[in-house]
Amino acid sequence: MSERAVPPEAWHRLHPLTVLAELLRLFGQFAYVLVAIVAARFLGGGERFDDLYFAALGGVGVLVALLRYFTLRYAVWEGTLYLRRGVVFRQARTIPVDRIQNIDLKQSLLGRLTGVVDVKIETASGSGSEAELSVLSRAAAERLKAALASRQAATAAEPQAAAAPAAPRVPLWQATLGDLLLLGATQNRAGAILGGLASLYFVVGGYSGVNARAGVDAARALGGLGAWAAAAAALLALALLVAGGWILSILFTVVKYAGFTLAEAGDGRLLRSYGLITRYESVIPLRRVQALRLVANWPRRALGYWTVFAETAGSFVDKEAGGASIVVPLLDARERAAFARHFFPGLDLDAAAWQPVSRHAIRRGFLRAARLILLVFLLAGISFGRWPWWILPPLLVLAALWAWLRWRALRWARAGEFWLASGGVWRRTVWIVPEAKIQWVAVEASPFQRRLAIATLEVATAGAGPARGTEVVDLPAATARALAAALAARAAAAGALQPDGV
Amino acid sequence: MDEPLPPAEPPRLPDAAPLLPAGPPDSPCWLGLHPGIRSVWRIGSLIATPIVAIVAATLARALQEGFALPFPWWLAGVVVASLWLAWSWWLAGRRFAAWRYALAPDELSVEHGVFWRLARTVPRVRIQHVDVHSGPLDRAYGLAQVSIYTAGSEGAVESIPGLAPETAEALRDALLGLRSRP
Repeated sequence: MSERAVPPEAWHRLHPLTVLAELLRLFGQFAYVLVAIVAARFLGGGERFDDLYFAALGGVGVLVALLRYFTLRYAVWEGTLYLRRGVVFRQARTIPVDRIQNIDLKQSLLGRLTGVVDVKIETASGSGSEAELSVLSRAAAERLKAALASRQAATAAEPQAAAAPAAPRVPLWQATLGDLLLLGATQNRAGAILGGLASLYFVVGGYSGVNARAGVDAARALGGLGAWAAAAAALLALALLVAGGWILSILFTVVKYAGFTLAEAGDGRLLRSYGLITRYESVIPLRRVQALRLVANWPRRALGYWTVFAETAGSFVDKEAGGASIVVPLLDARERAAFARHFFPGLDLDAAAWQPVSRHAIRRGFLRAARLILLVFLLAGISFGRWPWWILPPLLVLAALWAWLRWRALRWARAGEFWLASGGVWRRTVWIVPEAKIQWVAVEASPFQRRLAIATLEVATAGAGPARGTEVVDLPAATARALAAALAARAAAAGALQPDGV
Repeated sequence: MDEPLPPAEPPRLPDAAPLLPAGPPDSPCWLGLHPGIRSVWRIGSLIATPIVAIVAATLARALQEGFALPFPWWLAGVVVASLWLAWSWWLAGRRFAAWRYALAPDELSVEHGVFWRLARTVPRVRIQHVDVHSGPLDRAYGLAQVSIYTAGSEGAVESIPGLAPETAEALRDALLGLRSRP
């Protein structure tokens, strides 16, 4: 099917606001430079920049944006998405619609005010999205989505799906305000904010000569308080800071995931939308899901909630930028099995017979932690001279406990046609990989592992980056090899029925 | 693309037999690399040797400022570089001995690594594309390298170095043969 066969009326342009969006994006990258230049001018302290530079920069930006608008065309014709762009180097891209992994729509606040959206289309290749149409009018984006979706349904394995004209939407999960508050409250972001505050304290303290002791002194001088009261005041201030960071993190989460809805369209596609200010909408074909990832940090696990990610093939970077491959931010632990069945009908998660890894994992985990602790203590002892060595034994006991918990968390199972793996002490992850989606398997062994006759089994899917697949460490070597052979055979058999290899 | 594809035939597998150079004796289906790859690796480390010598000598020179070294600084460079050369010379032989691959009807398996051992299996239907390339040193020894890519992988999943060009091409054709349609 050649591009020349596409009738002229099938070709579309982007929305005229593309020019503005492109300019914003171009200058967004240099925003800090521009701010610095302007600040330098106003303060008069820095070097004076010629206005000519500004004009030249602006002119080039406008030219680039205009070129993008006038040269980029797209068309959906006969089950293929065509993309044409470029002036000097002309590029024509052809994407068979049935190879599309997912379609993402992103609408920023400005986009929502002006009614335009960013559209990203991903195939299974590793790097970047294959087609980025930014920006399209809302109506054009919906038309494109519908054109791609109908074609996808037509080429899908189930022929009856193509017959259904407009599939009803069945909501699978909807965020309530309570969900969002809980999600924010248990987000690890609080730690990040705390770290930020701490570094801010050190930076500011370093410049202005303020430090904790000075604060305590000040408090004592101010109220004539005793040292204990001053310390309590300092602690209170710290607690307030932490609470502030926590509330901020909750707010961020509520704004980011507000109105999170996951719905199943009857034709085997998932529709996901969320966001209060910047709105994200995605279409994920169910049969394109390579793996499910259930993740919960300790607080969430204790409260009985899990976060669910659905990995499709494609670039990890873009997915993270687009709000991750998250499909349910907060799923009740009791609904895990039922939810997983929406993706993988043959799976009974609750009935999985989980197997432990080798007990040598405890020893290896302990040695690894102990080595790190000893190294830190040795270095600190050398450089500080006075060092609280008595902390060492309790720390080693903690390391042993951690090693044991790590071993307990490391599990694997084969449930029907699915490969399951779990791990993580603080942040537990449970992987569900259909064995038919496995891309390759590997058995790795370090010299230390080989001495204990244990090995690491790696199972990769077409997801990219850290979402690529599972890694089960410290399996008995014979088990690892047998599992690798069995899983590879299953993948090879299933792959023969999947013409595009995903 | 728009006309329906003919129903998938059971794939006809190309015969792996012409690929067989002398593999390791323990298993008939495992194949080893071309012995020339040892020289390529060794020449590669020979080229890097002056850099190692310069780094070591510079470090010794810097240490000399603070400590009284019992030997001249340039000696550190010479000793470290020769140790490194001896080590990589030995390692090239071990790497060569550790490297093997096997082409089964359904999958490609490779094993390599001297200290950190790795055994990877890629089902042949999963292979998206295959590269054959050879650097200047490879070409000087009449060698080529085959890189294998699957869906979603950022780089090559596996690269088999040190193959005779005709072996590399036969391997590539055998790996892709499964996916070609009449």
